[in-house]
Amino acid sequence: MSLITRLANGTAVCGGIILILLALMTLVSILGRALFSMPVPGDYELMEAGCAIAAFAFLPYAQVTGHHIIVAFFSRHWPATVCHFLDTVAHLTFSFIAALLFWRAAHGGLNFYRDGDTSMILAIPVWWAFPAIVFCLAVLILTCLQSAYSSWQQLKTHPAGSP
Amino acid sequence: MSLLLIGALAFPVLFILMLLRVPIGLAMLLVGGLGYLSIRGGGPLLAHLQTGPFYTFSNYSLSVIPLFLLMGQFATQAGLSRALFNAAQSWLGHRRGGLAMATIAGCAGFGAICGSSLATAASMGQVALPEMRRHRYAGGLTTGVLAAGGTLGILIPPSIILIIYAILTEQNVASMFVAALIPGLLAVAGYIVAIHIIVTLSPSAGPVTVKASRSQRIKALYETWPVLFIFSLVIGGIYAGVFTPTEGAAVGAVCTGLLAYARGRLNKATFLATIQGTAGASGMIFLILLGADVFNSFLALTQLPVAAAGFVQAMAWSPFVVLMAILGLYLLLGCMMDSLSMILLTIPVFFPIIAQLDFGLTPDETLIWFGILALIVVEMGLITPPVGLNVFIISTLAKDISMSETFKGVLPFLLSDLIRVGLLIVFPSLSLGLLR
Repeated sequence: MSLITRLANGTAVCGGIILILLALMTLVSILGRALFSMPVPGDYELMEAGCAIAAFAFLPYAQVTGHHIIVAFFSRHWPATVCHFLDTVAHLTFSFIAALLFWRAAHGGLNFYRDGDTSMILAIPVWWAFPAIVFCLAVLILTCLQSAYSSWQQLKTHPAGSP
Repeated sequence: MSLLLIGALAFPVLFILMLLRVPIGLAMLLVGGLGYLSIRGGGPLLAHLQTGPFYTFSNYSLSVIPLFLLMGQFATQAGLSRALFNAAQSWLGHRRGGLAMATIAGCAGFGAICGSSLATAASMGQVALPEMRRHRYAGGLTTGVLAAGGTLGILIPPSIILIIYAILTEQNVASMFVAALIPGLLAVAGYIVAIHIIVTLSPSAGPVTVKASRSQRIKALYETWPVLFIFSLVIGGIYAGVFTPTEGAAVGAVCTGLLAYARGRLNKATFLATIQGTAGASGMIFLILLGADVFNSFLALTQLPVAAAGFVQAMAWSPFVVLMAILGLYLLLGCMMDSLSMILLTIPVFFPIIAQLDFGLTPDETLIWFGILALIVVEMGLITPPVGLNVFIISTLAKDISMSETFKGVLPFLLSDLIRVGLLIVFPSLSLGLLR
């Protein structure tokens, strides 16, 4: 397994563990609310921020495992070379978009840091979520470039063009 | 170029990109971004991308999705599909085609704690496929029934697609779930009738198996109590307003996780598989959500949805003609696209159109009823040739049965789906009755 794949795997596992912790927190909150009318303070905003981080953490994993849905309806009977070429272009485009998102999210995080925005109840600074998100987007760029490279390799090794 | 023209051009461009193997979510993001750029300029787009994705992903209503996926993954690991299939088999197995009927019943039970069709098909497939093969069931019936049964995962609440639809149309998720209940049970009945007809016409397709004793039946049924318990807790809790859908999903995920642990099914490998299954499916859905968010922000700028609604109103077509046209379009698109992308792409345009059609129902009822109809029709896309995702999943499990045989095997179930859609159109109270 390549370093990038392992990185994406590790990111996904961290996201999954966050998700499980959020589920446990929610259960505690519901029980606290029902039994002692004392929910976990700020449970909704914890869920929102935590889930956002988990969702960003899952993006690179879905990319390395090929979970992202493509319409294979028309290209089924096209030569393999054409498909590999198109895949290379698509993955490169995704790398570009991921880089754009990375750049903009870094700015967004800095803005939240500068403006000192905080959550409603726990007064947690909003920017706290952003280092993790920006990191996940960096991993996403790497995984997209890796996919582009591997499609390009397949393109070179299948010059015959049989599907 | 007028705004409307830009909006109308976006769809063909989007389809060309999809045809060129660009992932659907990415294609929506790309076309939506470029469209936004052409209308509002680069500055607003870059500003939107700073926080837009974060706000989309941190939407509380969407947190329910990874949690329901986690619940389904834990349910798979807990071996609940085995318990469900065994129970259904002990009650139905001695009938002709009984194992296929048991598969349908098992899928329905699994669908009650899993919001995804693919997970249901894959999970029940691992259990039911070897059994049906061992008893020499016909290949097409075996795989066809599993692919069709998988769609029950999403018809029977909880359902990821219904949650997304509820968010898009500002409907109550709990009401959507309740409205899906009777149509889901109708689906089970319809599929079982379809199996009965198949084995009546060709008795060798579904041989009988040994009849289970009364005590065996009771015992097997008892083994399924966790499914009933978790379903009642989660769906009942959401409907009664004890907790939000997101909280319900969290409760369900913890319960199924504890169950898997208590049954000794959780070790390092299965725990990792649970997380990876959740991560893959969630990552796929969130990319589509991200793309749809940008695309729909752009579409709103072009005012195409409002104009389309105005056009349909001005033409004064019969509401049923409009409904048929939309459902027909879904059937067609379903042959190529996945159900979530279809809903996210089309509902923003169809929502204002549907909301103003008069079927003799209140506006909210019309939207809920249409949502159920749309759900059934887009899910048919999972089993229609040439690209049926459920069929692919089952084919990877049953390598000895050809894909074309499976698609033939699916036909009776598609027919049953169409009949059910017809029934729901003629009798809206079948889905709305429980809400009144």
